[in-house]
Amino acid sequence: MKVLALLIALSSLVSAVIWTEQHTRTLDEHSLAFGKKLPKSTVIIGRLGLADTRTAVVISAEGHLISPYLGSIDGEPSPYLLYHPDGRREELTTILEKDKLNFAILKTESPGLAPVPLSERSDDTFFVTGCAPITKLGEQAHFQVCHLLAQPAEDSKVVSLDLQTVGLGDAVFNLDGSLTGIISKYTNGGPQATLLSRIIEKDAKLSEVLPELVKSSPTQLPKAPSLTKDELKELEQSALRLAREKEALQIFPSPLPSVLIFNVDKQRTHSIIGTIVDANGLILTKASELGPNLAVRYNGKTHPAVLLSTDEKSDLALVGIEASDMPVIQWHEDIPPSGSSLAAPKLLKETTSEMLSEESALLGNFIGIQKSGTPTIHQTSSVTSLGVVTEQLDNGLQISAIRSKSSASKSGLTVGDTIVNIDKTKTPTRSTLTSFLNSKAVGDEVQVNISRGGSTQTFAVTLESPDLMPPTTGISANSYIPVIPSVRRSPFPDCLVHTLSLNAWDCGSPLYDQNGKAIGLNIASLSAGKTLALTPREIRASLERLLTNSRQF
Amino acid sequence: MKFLLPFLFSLSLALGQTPEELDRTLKKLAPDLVASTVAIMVGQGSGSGVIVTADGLVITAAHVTSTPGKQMSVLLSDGRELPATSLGVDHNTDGALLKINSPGPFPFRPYIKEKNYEVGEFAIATGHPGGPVVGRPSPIRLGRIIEAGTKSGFNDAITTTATVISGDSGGPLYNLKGEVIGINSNIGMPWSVNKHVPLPAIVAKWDELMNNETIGAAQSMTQQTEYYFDEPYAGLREKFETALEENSGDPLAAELLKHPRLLDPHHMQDFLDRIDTEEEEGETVDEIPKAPYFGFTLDLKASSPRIASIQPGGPAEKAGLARGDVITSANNQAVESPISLALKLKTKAPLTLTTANNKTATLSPEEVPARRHFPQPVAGLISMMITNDSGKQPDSIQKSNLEFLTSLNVLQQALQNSVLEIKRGDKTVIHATVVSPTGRLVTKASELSKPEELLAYFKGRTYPITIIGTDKATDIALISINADGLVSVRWEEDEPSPATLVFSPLPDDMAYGVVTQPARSAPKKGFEKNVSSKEPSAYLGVSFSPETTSAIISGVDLDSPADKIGFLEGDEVIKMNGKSIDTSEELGEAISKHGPGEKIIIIVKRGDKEITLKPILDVRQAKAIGTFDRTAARRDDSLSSLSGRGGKLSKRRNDFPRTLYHDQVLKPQNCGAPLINRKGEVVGLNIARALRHRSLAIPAKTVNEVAKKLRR
Repeated sequence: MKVLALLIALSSLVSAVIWTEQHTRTLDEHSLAFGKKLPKSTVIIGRLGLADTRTAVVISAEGHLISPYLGSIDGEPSPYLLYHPDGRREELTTILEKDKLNFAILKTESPGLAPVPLSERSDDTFFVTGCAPITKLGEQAHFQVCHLLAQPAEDSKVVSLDLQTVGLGDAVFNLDGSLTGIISKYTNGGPQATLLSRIIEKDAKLSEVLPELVKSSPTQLPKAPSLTKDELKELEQSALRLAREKEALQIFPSPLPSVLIFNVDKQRTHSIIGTIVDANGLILTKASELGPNLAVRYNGKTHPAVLLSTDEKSDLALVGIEASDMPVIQWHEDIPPSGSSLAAPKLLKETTSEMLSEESALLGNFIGIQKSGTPTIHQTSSVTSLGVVTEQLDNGLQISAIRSKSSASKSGLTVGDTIVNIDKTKTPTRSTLTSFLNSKAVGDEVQVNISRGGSTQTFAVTLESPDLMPPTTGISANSYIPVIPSVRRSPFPDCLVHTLSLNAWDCGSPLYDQNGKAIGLNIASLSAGKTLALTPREIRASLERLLTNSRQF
Repeated sequence: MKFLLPFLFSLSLALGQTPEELDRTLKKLAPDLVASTVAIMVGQGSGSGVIVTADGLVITAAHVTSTPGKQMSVLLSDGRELPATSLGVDHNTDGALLKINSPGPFPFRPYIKEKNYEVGEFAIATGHPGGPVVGRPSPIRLGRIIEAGTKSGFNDAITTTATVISGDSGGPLYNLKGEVIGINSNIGMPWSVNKHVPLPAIVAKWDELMNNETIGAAQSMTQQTEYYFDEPYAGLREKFETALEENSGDPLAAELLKHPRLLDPHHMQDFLDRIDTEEEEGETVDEIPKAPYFGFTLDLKASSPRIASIQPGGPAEKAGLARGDVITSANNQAVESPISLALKLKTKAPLTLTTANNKTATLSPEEVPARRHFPQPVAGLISMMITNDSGKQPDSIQKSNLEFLTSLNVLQQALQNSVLEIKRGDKTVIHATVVSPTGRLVTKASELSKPEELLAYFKGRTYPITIIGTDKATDIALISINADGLVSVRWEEDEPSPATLVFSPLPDDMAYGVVTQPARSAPKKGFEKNVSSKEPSAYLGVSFSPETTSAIISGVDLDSPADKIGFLEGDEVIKMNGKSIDTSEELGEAISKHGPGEKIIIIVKRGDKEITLKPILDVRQAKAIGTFDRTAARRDDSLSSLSGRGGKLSKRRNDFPRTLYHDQVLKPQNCGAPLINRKGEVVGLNIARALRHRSLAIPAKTVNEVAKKLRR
């Protein structure tokens, strides 16, 4: 009853932010404009020794950046790095670090960047920028559209957003593209942002660093009501999200051209979504999730199913059931603008240990296209690695681990060696070592002079691409919603990338844009907030291969 | 000094030389061992640890905390959840320290500084297998030390037969003095290989660890080159890469080596199945699932079932089928589309196909390795690292186990007319326990398929069995055989407490182990939820209206601490422990600083009066059982899959009413045998080999009730 009362009380707020057609259209125009500005106003950054990549925003003509705070690996203040789209790495000057507020002010020497205006005003709809935990070469920041949920009663300058996945320190923009806040906290229901005006109010030093930081405009107060924490919690967890999902359900075609496919494997039951491509029982799904015995749940009944063929390139499989007059998917080649809203049906709702289908929706935003075979920014040829992990000692860097099968491991270097110099260049600290490595290319041979038990020796090491550990555990470093990612997450042909947080078992489903057009098929959940979908072009090509080459029966 | 000798003598007995003494020692130690065992919640994952000082220093595994200075929370055995900070980590040994950010005092166990353990000695492992569960104290596992290493959890570990699994990582291994001697680190697939970081290895780096240092690099960073596949695929990938290198002459391997690609587990497994069809020696591997193979492909674009190609030498070619043949029926049933034919090809029995030109061909399918389903790694558990170690048990262990059990020969003799094997042909299917001398026995119902083929063995003779009745809930069947000389067992209806030494007498063997935890129901897959870090740890049982911030109680839960002490709806909380309270939020925060079992003093305003109430906080409320949870189901699948790779599990192994949990490494066919205490009294009927660390038995009282019910 309480939830219901709250729902009614907040219905005005809900109707203000759900996807009414008019709202969406204007929002799309804003999205388009924002998306165009983004490449020059945002950069991909990281920190020496960390595999994570994040997005920083240009806030001054002199190259000041506001960036998420990244913890240093071992207390040594290692430099922040700017990853250029061409694979170059630039060491940034750290102006200010605020670990409690989760941001840092950095400075780049790169020309050609366009600062965003900072604003004290805050809208009720925002763009939040971010990037993948591991960014591919040439990939730029993406953004999500989100709405103001509410503000906690006691503090008007902290707002709750209806986002699903976001990182601490990510930047929050108004619809006009002005920077208004920083993601500062996670709560059960969603993230909270602290408004810029509050940050400046609290931190005198910030305005010293950047005088005239904020360009005030007539204050347009947020429309959301102030709520108590209890109300807020209830709202975050249920009302608005449900309302949005309900809206999304209406854009799906009815009947939905999707089925649930079970993997019946001894006692274990797993499932995955399938998309109907032929009225007489042909279903597309993700091949690598399929086990030996299949069954399909369609139209309230469980049908015996058979695997007909698999396509290695796309990781699609064709599954057949005996049925007729099934609703068939209609693909649309449209590629939506970056940031526009997307939805996918979520068929799995468990009521008992037997899973029954009950439709609900996953929501997210479009990011862009991922070209196949693109290396990550850590793997580019201009980024080199010595293949060793070092420990900072008083007298220099000591080797604490050596990557197996690397050139370093074959060279004769051993754990415990202290690096004296490389190619006669002294490298007493990590930053000097990085600077040196940045000046070299992959494949270069260097002479590593080390001290071992009092004597010095020299070994020849060929520089390789670094091999950092991506956050693949399903709980990616910059998000708080854990997902269970797909078994196969790479490689794929060109794919649509979007922010829907899919679990492995949500793949195989169609991806819809806000007009109800199916623009792709979800093929791999990479991490929370990052999923790949095959384009209709790739799906058609793959379907042709699937129909031509049946598997060996 | 004369008095010293008898003292030493009794000490050696206390170290568990006889079942009686071991039982006594375990029961005495158990509460303290469990009290000091904690769960460590890191982000969304959980591992285990052990408190070793009163002010809250915890020893755990490096792969649990992974880096120094990380914020995490520690779930104490009393239900309290407290913030903690990781100290140093040593990736070379897998040892790590962390500190609870509260002054304590906490229950703690002493730890050894130097090696004082030997191969053959008993050791006890605790931890939170599968992650902490509401209302379940850390299960106790008993085992023997089979390798007594000192330097590292990886290559010079303490290896024991105390079964641990994902979630136990970081938990303690104790000796029979109750000292921490090791830290659960990694496991080999066989159930008998459980590796622990030796405490001396952690003590050797104590200063560095206290000083927040990182020693070595995480295993995964130095040993793996591709990180696209988490466990369990990392192991598969390693095998695959080794096989590629070893078989570089194989044309497919050569091709794969030339074009290194990121393959999914199916491709890797297919290649391994092709290269290596033999089972590895000494290792129990999962039975490779087989699929029928007919040796042809279909034209999926055609509307009728048309053969697109024939594999040379395959069953289809042998049966005389040719490319272009259109199939009209399979086993005399009409097939009209490629799909309807394909659905018929799931059979492993010979299949007769008729073609459009009236050709008839009978195909005998070959059996080839089937596609497998590769279960996902589970979010929410810090998985036990898996080593390739097959861990051979030294003969000395067999010998000491034999000696240990010899004193119990009497029990086995006493029960030899009460426990029977039931076989199908040569194969033991299940055991049965005599409940009446007139030939009534109880056994596991779901194993009695085709009962007409089953024979009970008793004193060298065989007897057909008759099923009198089965009970679905407990999976107990009451059967009868027409044999003389059966002796019914003695029941002990009081449930054994945790750490009680228990045995399963089999006609020619005896398993031993301990009761791991208090009896509770064994819910269906996905129905046992883990403790969520987000819930408050202590429970008062009052609720407040969400419409206001005031601390006016709007509801009191039945039978909650608040209810018992007399809180009423409408009471306004104004003070707790002397501190004034204005909002429900403040009360929540104040309560969260206290743990279950603590008494708090609350002053409420009721009308004009101020009333002082002193409730004792309870443990956090268990979430309603009866709702399915996907994450829990994934965890259960993953634990089953991991367990199943080390030995066979019972087919039906969950969804039982109240059961006894113990750690005996039984075979599924050992179920149906009684679970006895060291006096020979039957405390339960073994009903399922459930997981690596878990066997289940239906308590004696329930068995008797069910048997009585079925007799009617």
